[in-house]
Amino acid sequence: MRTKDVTAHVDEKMPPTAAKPVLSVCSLSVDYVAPPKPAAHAVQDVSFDLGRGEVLGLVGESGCGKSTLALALMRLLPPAGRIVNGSVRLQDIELLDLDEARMASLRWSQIAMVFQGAMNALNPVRAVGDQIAEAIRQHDRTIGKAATVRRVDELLELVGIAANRRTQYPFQYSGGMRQRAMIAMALACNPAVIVADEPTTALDVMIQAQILDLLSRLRRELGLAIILVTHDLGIVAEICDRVLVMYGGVTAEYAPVDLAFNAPRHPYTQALLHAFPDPDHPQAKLNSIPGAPPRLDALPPGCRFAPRCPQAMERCQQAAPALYALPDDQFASCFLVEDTAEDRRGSLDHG
Amino acid sequence: MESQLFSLYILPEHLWGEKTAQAAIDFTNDTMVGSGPFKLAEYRQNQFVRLDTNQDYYGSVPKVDGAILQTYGNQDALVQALKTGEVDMITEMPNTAVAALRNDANIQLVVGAPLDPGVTDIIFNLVPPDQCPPDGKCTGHPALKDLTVRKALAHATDKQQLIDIVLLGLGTPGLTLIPDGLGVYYNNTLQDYAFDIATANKLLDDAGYKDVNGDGVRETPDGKAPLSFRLNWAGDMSSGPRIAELLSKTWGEIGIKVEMQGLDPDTLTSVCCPAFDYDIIIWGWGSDPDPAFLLSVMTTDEIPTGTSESGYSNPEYDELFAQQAVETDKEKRKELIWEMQAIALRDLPYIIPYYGQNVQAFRKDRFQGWITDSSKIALEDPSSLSLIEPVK
Amino acid sequence: MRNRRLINKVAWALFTICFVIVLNFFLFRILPGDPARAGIRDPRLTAEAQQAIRVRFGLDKPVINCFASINPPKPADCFVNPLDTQFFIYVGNLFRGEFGISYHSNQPVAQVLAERTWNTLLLIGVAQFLAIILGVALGVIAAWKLGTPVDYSALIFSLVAWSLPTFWLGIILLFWGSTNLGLPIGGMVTPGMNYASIWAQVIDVGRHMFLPTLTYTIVFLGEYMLIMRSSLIDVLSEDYVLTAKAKGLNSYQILKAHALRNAMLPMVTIIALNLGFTVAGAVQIETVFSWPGLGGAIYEAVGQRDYPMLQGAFLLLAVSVIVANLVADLLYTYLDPRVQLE
Repeated sequence: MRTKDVTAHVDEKMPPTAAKPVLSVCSLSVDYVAPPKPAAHAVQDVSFDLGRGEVLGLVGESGCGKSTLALALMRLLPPAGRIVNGSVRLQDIELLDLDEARMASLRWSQIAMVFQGAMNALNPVRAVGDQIAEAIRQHDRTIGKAATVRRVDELLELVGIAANRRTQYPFQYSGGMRQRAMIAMALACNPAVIVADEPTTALDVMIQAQILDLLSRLRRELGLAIILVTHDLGIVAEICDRVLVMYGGVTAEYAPVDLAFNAPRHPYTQALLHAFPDPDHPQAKLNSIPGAPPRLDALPPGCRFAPRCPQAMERCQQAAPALYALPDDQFASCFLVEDTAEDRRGSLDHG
Repeated sequence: MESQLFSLYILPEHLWGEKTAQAAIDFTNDTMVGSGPFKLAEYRQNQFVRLDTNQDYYGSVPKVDGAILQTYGNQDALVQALKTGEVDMITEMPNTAVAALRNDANIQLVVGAPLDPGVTDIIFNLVPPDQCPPDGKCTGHPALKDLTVRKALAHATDKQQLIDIVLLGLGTPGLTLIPDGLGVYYNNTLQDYAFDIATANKLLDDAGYKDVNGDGVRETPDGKAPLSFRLNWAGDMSSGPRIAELLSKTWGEIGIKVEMQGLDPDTLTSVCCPAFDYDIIIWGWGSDPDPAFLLSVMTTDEIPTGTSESGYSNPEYDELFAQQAVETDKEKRKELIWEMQAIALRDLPYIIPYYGQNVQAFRKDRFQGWITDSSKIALEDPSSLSLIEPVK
Repeated sequence: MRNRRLINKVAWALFTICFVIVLNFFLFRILPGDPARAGIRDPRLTAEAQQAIRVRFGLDKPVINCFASINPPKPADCFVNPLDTQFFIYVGNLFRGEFGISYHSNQPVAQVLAERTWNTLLLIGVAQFLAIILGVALGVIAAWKLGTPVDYSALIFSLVAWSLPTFWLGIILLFWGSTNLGLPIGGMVTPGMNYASIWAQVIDVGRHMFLPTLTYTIVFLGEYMLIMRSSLIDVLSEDYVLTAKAKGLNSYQILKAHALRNAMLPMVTIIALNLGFTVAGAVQIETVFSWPGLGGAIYEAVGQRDYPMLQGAFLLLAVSVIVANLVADLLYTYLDPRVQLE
């Protein structure tokens, strides 16, 4: 019953052509500027499309720009972070052109976020239900008090939290409940897109599975588009449709999830997969990637992965490869795939 | 007797008539019945006292309607209040403010002995071994019991410098415990020990106090003990450290060393008397209008009570003290008291660096007729308040 | 749960007060010397007169019983009514609101303390109120405008205000205010004024209060501003503030709904402790402006060894610190649910 209600709500907002992406990011670049230090190019030239009900996995090692990208989508970068190039179109609205007030009105109502570490992402001195209600009222001034409470209870039950816990405080919740409450809060205004930044980090495996089940169900039932930021390839394999592998602020590989796992083209993707336990061959030796990701304020001149790449060539030290379009909607930025590329593109073109 | 009469009230017969002598002494006069030129109209502790003129006063009725005596928490505020005209007269001020007020055309300064004259004293531990009180320690330096040493110290005490530096000039050189503010009882014929380092050195040289080991400090004639004295003062005396510092300088010039330490009043009392566990102390006394009490401080009888700080014991002096106590002829009593002061100055149980002076000030544009030529200054005294009248 | 905690806290506070009452009594009896002699300090008093004074101040009775007597026990003391001892008389008097009679002024201590406490509360209450409001406001503005000239100016002002010597600032303001604004130099009222109306009286007290209040406010404002600023900076970098922004709240809403309450938590403790201790008055400000407050009364009583005054004042101070702590505790419970329910 409740699920149907929610769905009905979302359906009204659905764009007429389902094929059209909900969120379309094009050539997005973000710098961190803190003089006198040199600018750090945290995200460079990243593009992707996200359709309705689609889950995009955003993976990479720590410090590769995943979280920066996630924050940039909602224009929530810290003061030093600057979007220097690109476009973010959310249901045909160019977010980067909006003034702050207009952007604030789109936040949460159109694009919501589940932060990592829900203990800190929830205000410790306010009741959980109160914080969810706040999001609802912020975007619907006409809703009455009783209706708000009903909606909060509904959302809590949607994520499997008893309604009578509405008046409790975050510290009275378990870690998994806090994360689910955070998801409930993200759903409060029926957004088209949810950015989930490491939603399962620091949770035990059982809870992690519950959260992922919940996200899959929501995507299925509500047609929610989800960007899942994670460094856990297992999660990506489980629920993502496409995966965007980032390395040193740029796209290493962007591909449908089965291609990324079964036929990775970028040496970094391959290395990541080798560093991850394969459920089919649990005994196989894990290979960690030697070295560390580059510092974003001191990038190597050529391919950013070259210093750690086992297949690096002379050429990789001098020039950065473009993002090559490969068959079956697969993209990789590596000179090794140049031969098989259908098209050489610096970025996705949304013409 | 006189000092007890001093604290009795002159009161109407319906209050006094029935009382015995002891009841009269015990009477606390809580309702403030009096016979003066002013009546108490309002009293707020530590804030102000408001007086109304007593129109039925038997003497000449004051020309003003009343007076308000306001209390200020600090002397700088007092000076400022006089400058802005918030008050018409102030009874004290920091000595540092004197120069500035002197240049103010509307303000008249009055300098003189205070109404309650105080005396600052340098006390020597003289208690004789046979007079040491039962619970006394009597650890005084033996050299200080030698009058020659005390005379040398007196000659090496620059009283004018002490007045100039410690009091910023507002004081008169001291002689004995009886201050000049006591008027007729003060023996003004005595000749003080002149400040003269050479004389002081010669006194010590001749008496055999020589610097045997060449460390700049003299030793006793037997060569055993250096002339190094403990010098203590009461920690609540702001002038204490400065006096000690100046003394150590001039006394140092005659080969006498002092170890200086300020002590809180309780600790000082416990080392002073009747313990006599000290060498030299800088301290002070307040004075009654009658000198009897200050004279008693130097009597043998007061050694065990702790009132005698020096432990000075001289039968001749004790005899004179007994005589003045029962002498009813004012002139004869004065002679006795003058003689006692001469003895005290001769025997030097104390060196008195100075007698402090009080500075008061009034606004010339407000009231006139203040008593400014008395030996003691007290503009706030009813005698003065009942004479003043507004400036026309 | 909440009530049990409250009862617990109040019970502890009451227990502490009882302890202070007992300690306060014996502390002054342990002090060396005879209180009568110490209080009077006139070596010429006859033995009879001294005894009369002891009787007047109740010091002729045994302290608690003949065995615990500090004076050499007299056999007669052992047979007196055990309640007829200094300790039980002291406790009994406390319950009747009597603190004894001041050695120095001969007035009932309770009356002197009550008057002085009211004067102090008037001055410090207004000044603390202003200091808190202005300090918090300034701290919020500075934290909100972190790193801008506004922040730097507020920071420098507060650091200077905090580090200014109180006495010096007071004297400067006194000279300035009395010369340029024609404000009174000392005291609480103009002596001998007949007020035409209650308003005239309020205005007169207000004129006297202005400079000491200003001094006090400036001195405390700095501290509050600095603490509020750093507290708010901490809170503003919390994840839940980012969540609030992501939810579409604007800066003002975030400040109001999420940042202020959390940032006030450390302030509550500091304010409560300050209030507890400042009941003692600000001796320096009272001295500069001749304000007849509690601090000055205690300072004088120490100098005069006025034991009954000191005993009453210490009890008052101890109780006010305990009460302030209790209030801080309870307020904290209200502001931070983690405390009440953990």
